[in-house]
This record gives sequence, C-alpha cells and structure tokens, in this order.
Amino acid sequence: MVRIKNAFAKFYLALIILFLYIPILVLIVLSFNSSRSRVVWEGFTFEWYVKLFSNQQILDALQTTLVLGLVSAAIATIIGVLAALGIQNMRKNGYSVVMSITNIPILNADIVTGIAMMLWFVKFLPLGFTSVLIAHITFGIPYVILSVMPKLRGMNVHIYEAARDLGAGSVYAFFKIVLPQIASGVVAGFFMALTMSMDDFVITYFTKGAGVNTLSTMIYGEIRKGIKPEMYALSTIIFAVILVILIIVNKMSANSEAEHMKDNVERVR
Amino acid sequence: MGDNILELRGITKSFDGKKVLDNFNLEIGRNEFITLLGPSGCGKSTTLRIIGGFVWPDEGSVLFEGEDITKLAPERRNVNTVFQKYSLFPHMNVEENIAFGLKLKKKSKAYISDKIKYALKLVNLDGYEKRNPMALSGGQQQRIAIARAIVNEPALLLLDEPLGALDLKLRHEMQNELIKLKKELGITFIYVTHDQEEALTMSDKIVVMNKGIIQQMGTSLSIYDEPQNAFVADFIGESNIFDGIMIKDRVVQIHGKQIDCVDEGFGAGEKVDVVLRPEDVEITTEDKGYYSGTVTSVLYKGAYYEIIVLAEGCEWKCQSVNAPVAGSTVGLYIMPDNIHVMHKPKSSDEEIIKE
Repeated sequence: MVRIKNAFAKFYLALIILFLYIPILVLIVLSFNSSRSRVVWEGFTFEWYVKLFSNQQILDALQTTLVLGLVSAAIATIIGVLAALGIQNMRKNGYSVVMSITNIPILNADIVTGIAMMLWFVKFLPLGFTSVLIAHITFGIPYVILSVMPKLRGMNVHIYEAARDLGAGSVYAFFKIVLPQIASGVVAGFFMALTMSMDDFVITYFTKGAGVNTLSTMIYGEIRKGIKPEMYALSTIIFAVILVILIIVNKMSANSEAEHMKDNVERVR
Repeated sequence: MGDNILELRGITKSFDGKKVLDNFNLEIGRNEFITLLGPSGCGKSTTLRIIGGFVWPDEGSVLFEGEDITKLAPERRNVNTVFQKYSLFPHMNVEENIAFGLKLKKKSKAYISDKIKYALKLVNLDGYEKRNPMALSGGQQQRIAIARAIVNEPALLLLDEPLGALDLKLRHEMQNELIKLKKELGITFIYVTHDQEEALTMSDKIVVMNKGIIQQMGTSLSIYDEPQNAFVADFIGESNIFDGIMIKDRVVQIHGKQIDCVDEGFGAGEKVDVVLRPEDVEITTEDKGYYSGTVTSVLYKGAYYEIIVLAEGCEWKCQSVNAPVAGSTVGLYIMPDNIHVMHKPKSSDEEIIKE
C-alpha cells in the first residue's frame, strides 16, 4: 500500500517537472545554443545575449516594461494603502461590500477587463503610455489592498490613537506608528503589483496605442514573424530576474516570521 | 469654571442611529478620582473618547478649564489616555515608547532621560529602558503605558478599563498602585470600568451609567448604601429587589407583611421598589423573623456563606458567617435601617433604565 502511494507520489512529481520545469530548462539551454535550429546542439555561445542587447527595439520594450511596472506599482501602492485605511474604518456592511468589489478585477477575465478599459479610454484619451499606465495601476490596486488589509486588521487600532493622544498629528502618527506595523504588507503589495504589471499581456495589448510595447507585447509581435533565438535569451533573463525577486521576497517574509517567533518565545519566558 | 477642570454639557452622540449618550451632563472637579461605571454599551467609553478627542459629539460641548475644546484634535489637548489593551508601540523599546510624547514637545535630551527614569521608578519598573515591550507581561505593559502617559504631565488622565485584561491578583495590586500614583501626581483621574468592586475601591466619586444616562452620582458609600433606583441597586453589589407598597411614613408592606423602615416622604399606598442587601437579611429562628422559608442552598465563599432561602415564593439571597443546614426552615429578619425604599420608575424612559 505504502509502496503504491510512494510510486504515485513520484509519478506525480515527474509529471510536474515534465510539464512545468523541463520546458523552461529547454528554453534556457536553447538560449546558449549556437545553432538557430531548435533540435541540434552546435555548441555554447553568448551570441544571442549580445544580439539581444544591441537590439534597440528590445531595449525600448524592456525600458517601457520596467518604467511601467515601477511607476504603476508605486502609484497602486499609495492608492491601495489609502484605500485599505479607509476600508478598515468602515462599518461591517460597507466593509464586506467594498472587499467584494475589490476582488472583481482579480477574478474578472483579463480579456474582459482589457476590452472594457479600451472602450472606456478611447472616449477620453488617446491610447498610449498613459492609458496603459492607468490600466496597470487599476489592476494593481486590489493586490495591494489584499496584502495590506490583514496587516491592518491584525494591528491594535489603539496604537494610532495613542500616538495622537501623545501629541502626534495624523500624518506623523501614520508614518511613525502605523506604517512600520504594516510595512511588510505594503512591500509585498508593491511587489505583487510590480509582478502583475510585468506579467500582463492581455490588458496591455488592448490598452496600449501604436508604438508602445512592453516585453510581452513585443515578444508576441516578434513570434508572429518567426521565433528568433534572441527571444530565448530574453525569456531566460526574465525568468532569472523573477526567480531572484521571488527568492528575496520569500527570504524577507521568512525573516520577519522568525523575528515574530523570537518575540513570542521571549514573551513566554 | 472655579473648581471644575472639565465640564460636559448636554452631550448627545449616536452611532448608526442608536443613541449612546443622551443629553449627558457631568462636572469633574480638580484632583478628583472619578469613575464612570456601567455595563458594556452604557456609553462610558464613548464619554471618555469624547473627552480624549477621538469622537466628536453630535450635540453639546466639552469645556476644559472653562474653554471649549469640543472639536479640538486629540494632540492639542492637555489630556492623556491609558488604553484598554496597553497600546504600546511594538517597534519601539520601552524608553522610546515613553519618550514619544516628550520628543514631540521638543524637550531636551537630559530632560527626557530624567523623566523616563522618574516615570519608570514611579511604576516600579526601573531598569527596563531597553526592553522590548511586547516581551513584557500584561501588567508590566500596562505600567509602561501609564508611564508613557504621565511623563507628559497631563492635567487629566483618562483610563479606559486599564486593568480589564489582567488577572484578579494583579488587578488588586494595580488598583492599590493607581491610588498611590494618583496621590503622588495630584492630577485628575477619570476611570472607566464595568467592575463595580474596582469602582468602589478606588474612586472619590462614582458615576453610574446605563443607556447613555447617568443613574446616580456620588461617593462609593452613598451609592452602595442609598441606591436611587433598582438599576443602581442591582448593578452595585448584590441585592434582593422586591415590589412593595408604602403604607405610611416608616412602614412598608412587602409580601403582605407590614415592616418598619426609616424612609419617609412617600405617598400613602404608593407602589415602591424595596432593596435588601444580602448581608442585611438576617437569618434567625422562625418566631423572630418576618418571614419563614426553606434554605435551598448554602455556598462557602471564603469569608462568609452565601445562602439562598425560598420564602413567599421568592428566592432571597443572604450572607452570613454561620451556615444553616440546607433544607431547614428559618426565619428572615431585616433591621429598619437596612431597608431601602425607592420610587418605581414613572415614565417609559425610566423603565428602560430598570431593564
């Protein structure tokens, strides 16, 4: 019985590796293959990486992606934190209504959000960088709210009042007392919004104007013309960067948890 | 003005259409230890939050030293609060917590460190400067919270059920320390609690509240000995409350028996509430008592026995140092001094109070 169970577990693991990780591995290997062919290995090369970084179109797209991601995540974080503070102070009914509305952009199909936003934007402003930016801010906000909310709820609300009571103005009390308590949630929310922005294709595709390209929309356009090995190199870099970010974020939250544990242990003593 | 440090005038406050305070008036004298006492939801915490500046009243005004501070921000009031759940800043050590208010007031470093030392000594925690507040016990955290409030030298210290989360023994210790602290500082304390024993032990003046209305105000002694209505009698200490009819001055009829009492000024034949404290109901032999009944339970309570006697179809709660045998028949006697006769509530407004 146990042996069957073990065998099944191993089979399951093999499936996951086969479908999830082997393709990525193949992609990485191909990015160093000096042959243009996808089936022949002709030797190790950095050629595609060199070509990648001499390709102005790709560099532009990379810049757009990074600027768009950082700016939209930063603005979404500010709006999201303010929204979370407001929602926290709502009475019970309002709270659950607003929280369900907050979840809509996350649950909604990207294609619907994308088309809806496009229709909305063409009424008011030309499609371009600004429209993509607004779209990215919009779908980034719920992730910020969702990661900040539990921190706010877990915080003792009286510490804000205590700060006011001791002579702090509302802004000072927020930055000095409330923000440190919810900081980990704010940082996590920022990175979530950043990842979602860099990851997004569908909404960007519908809300961008001509001439604006992020990496994902550019790769899509390129692939229609045939897959170039530079794309393997580019995808490998994106994969590596996201892996590094993930490891850092995990490490940070693990650290803060360990800190928490330490405090608890001390208290028990 | 004059001797009053704080006045609340005609304060009305509703939350979600529910009136929490209704035309509430209160004067608080300098150097008083005043306690707002009542069941949860009676408006006592809201009153405190209005004084602290965290809630604005719908109507009415708050006067501090004769000045209207109704809509003044909390940081501009010469008032400090000790919150229910300690509310220390978790990311700061004890010293930084206590220094928070003083730094905002731009005091010198030397002054601040002197003050911290003094305050920690006052709450018996010297040497705790560098400790992490979250690693301290509940009692210690509450003391730090008190130290953090008093270094600012407020004219008025508000305490919102500060001992509510502590265990009984610690609570008694802290009660004594608070009384000591109050004497040492010579400032006004406004204390909120639902614990009647706490209120009776510590306060100069007790304000009993229910449903946003003051039920009675007075010293511990006057509130315990002369409750003005059935709510106060029931809430403060334990009591037996029976329906009665005033026959004439100094004679009241309870359960069909006319009994001597000391109350005067009621109309003849007026229906009244009669309050009998358990320690005032004496258990004697059948022939000496007004009533006779059967002992249904005897509970040992440490310093005394709590005895339930079934007489005239009612349960009578009595306290005595001698325990009768359960099931035996006894007589119940009450001295005229110990009978408290109160008017029945007249209007429906007062009826709510009684509930």
